[in-house]
Amino acid sequence: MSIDLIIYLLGGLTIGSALMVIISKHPVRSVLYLILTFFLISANYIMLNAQFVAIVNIIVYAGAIMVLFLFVLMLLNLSKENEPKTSLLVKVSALISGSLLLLVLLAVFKDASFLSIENEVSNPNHGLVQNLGKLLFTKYVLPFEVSSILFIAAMVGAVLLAKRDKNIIE
Amino acid sequence: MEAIIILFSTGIVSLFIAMTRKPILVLLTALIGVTVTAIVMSINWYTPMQWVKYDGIETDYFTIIYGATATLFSFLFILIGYSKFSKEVYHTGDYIAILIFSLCGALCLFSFTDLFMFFIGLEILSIPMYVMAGSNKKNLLSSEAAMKYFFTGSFATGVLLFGIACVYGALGTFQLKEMSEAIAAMKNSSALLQVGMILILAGFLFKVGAVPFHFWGPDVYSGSPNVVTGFMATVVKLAAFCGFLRLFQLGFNGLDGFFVEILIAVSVLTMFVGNLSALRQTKLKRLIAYSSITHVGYALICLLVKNEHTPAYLWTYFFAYGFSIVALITVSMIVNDENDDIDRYKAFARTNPFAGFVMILALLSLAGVPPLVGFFGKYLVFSSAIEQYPVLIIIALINSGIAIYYYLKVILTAISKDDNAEKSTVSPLHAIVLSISMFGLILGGFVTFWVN
Repeated sequence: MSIDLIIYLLGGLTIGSALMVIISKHPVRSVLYLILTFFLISANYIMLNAQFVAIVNIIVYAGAIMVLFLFVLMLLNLSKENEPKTSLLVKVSALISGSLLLLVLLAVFKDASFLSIENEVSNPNHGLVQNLGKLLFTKYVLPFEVSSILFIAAMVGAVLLAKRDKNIIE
Repeated sequence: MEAIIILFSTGIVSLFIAMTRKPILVLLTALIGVTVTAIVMSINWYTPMQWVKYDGIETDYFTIIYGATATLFSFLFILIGYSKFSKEVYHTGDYIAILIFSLCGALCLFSFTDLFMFFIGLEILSIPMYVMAGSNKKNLLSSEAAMKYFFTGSFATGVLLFGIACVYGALGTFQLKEMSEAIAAMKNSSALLQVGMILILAGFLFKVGAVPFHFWGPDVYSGSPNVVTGFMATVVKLAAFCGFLRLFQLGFNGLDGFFVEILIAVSVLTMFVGNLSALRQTKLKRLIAYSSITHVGYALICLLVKNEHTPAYLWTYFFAYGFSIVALITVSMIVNDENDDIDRYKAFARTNPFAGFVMILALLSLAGVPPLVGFFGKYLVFSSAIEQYPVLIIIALINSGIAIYYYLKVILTAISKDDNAEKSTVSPLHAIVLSISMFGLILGGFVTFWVN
């Protein structure tokens, strides 16, 4: 059993479950397929020697964010009656533009040559926490630190928007 | 770099000072911090301080000019908004800090040299804006604006990221310098690179609100609190334009081939759609939104011209545009009308002569009337492109003509007679901002000459 076969199998499964997220009618079912997709993407990361990213992907996306999704779904009232209706024109134009995008992307990726990825993937220690941490605190220390501004702004913003105000309740 | 650190600490400090429940202290901290940032930036220009060894940020001439402009406008908007911010004592610090964080993102966009800093800067710029759009929690329109901006904005970010991934796949580097070398060394252009560039371009056109991606603009602009609308129209647009101009010029060696055709089409469409929709608006902020779409159309002409002066012309354009927006937003804060109808400004120039005068100046500057700064912005942009794209400039001139109609309509409303009109009170802060923007509008043309 060659490694190529595993890669194709994983890729096919990932695409299949990602498609099921959009196709399935019931929202809870599509969320569950989304969790499956995240696990499969993690498996793809492991095939690329990115072990740390794979674990983080499972913890953050499959763990935290998906639980949030399920809670939101439970709070929403999802009945069939109040679904927004889309007109035929919108559907047809979405279909045409979506297929055109797919066509272009397929044509591009069919004979694209990806640079500089092959030689890095072959090193088995490439994606370990040690190497990643070294890179983050030497070469990429500035984006790493600057992203803290992003997080604190998002945090302050979330508290600002979500906190109850006394005068609004009155 | 130092400027970003100082700004960030200013934001944090004003968050903590807000705990004293004294809004005036927060205002003073923020103003001092922003001023110190501007001073440090100008010192940095003469003696570069290089104590952080990382090549993700590089300060050049345009970083300073753009940075100083963005800092000035943020300063003015914090001043304008203070009357609103200080009403909610518990949140004054949050509002001001979030605006300052957004300015940090703008400074990253003025100086990045690799795609990491570019992307993080763009996100730091946008995420505080999603929050600020919804900061008026009592108003449903404000929440709607925040939701719309957040959903469409995050979708555009996704498209942009996908484009960056494609570009990385084609070039194998994130550094702008190495990217441009890799493109120059390429024998025949790769399709992957072009798809990536188109997706990045789509993300850019969304962020600035150019026509196929402009639908969020009017709703978000009219729903958000006035100060936030002004901040979005000036600082955010300036930063997004500068960031993408840097990316396209330094990273992609300028746009050519069919990108030029795309940009010309987008520019023409943007001008017409913005202008023709603005003709029928009855609310001031929606009018500002559509007119800002039109101005994006004019500014897109800058991206078409491959010229070492392009950043200066773009800067002039947004410098001129910003003062008008500052003045108009101040006037709308003075009138303080929930519905924001233009009819509410009836006889405004008669009851409040000074504020009305500045408002008329601002509208004339937006229309591009000669002695005012708006004329210089338009003149530089149009004259730089007239040899290469004469038809485009003629279309732009026609559009400037159409625009005069709706600006004049507002001016006529403001000077018309109405016996029942009451005098609005102008707070001292608003009077200061109005005088600064009046000086900017009248004397700004000389500043632009000095810079150019």
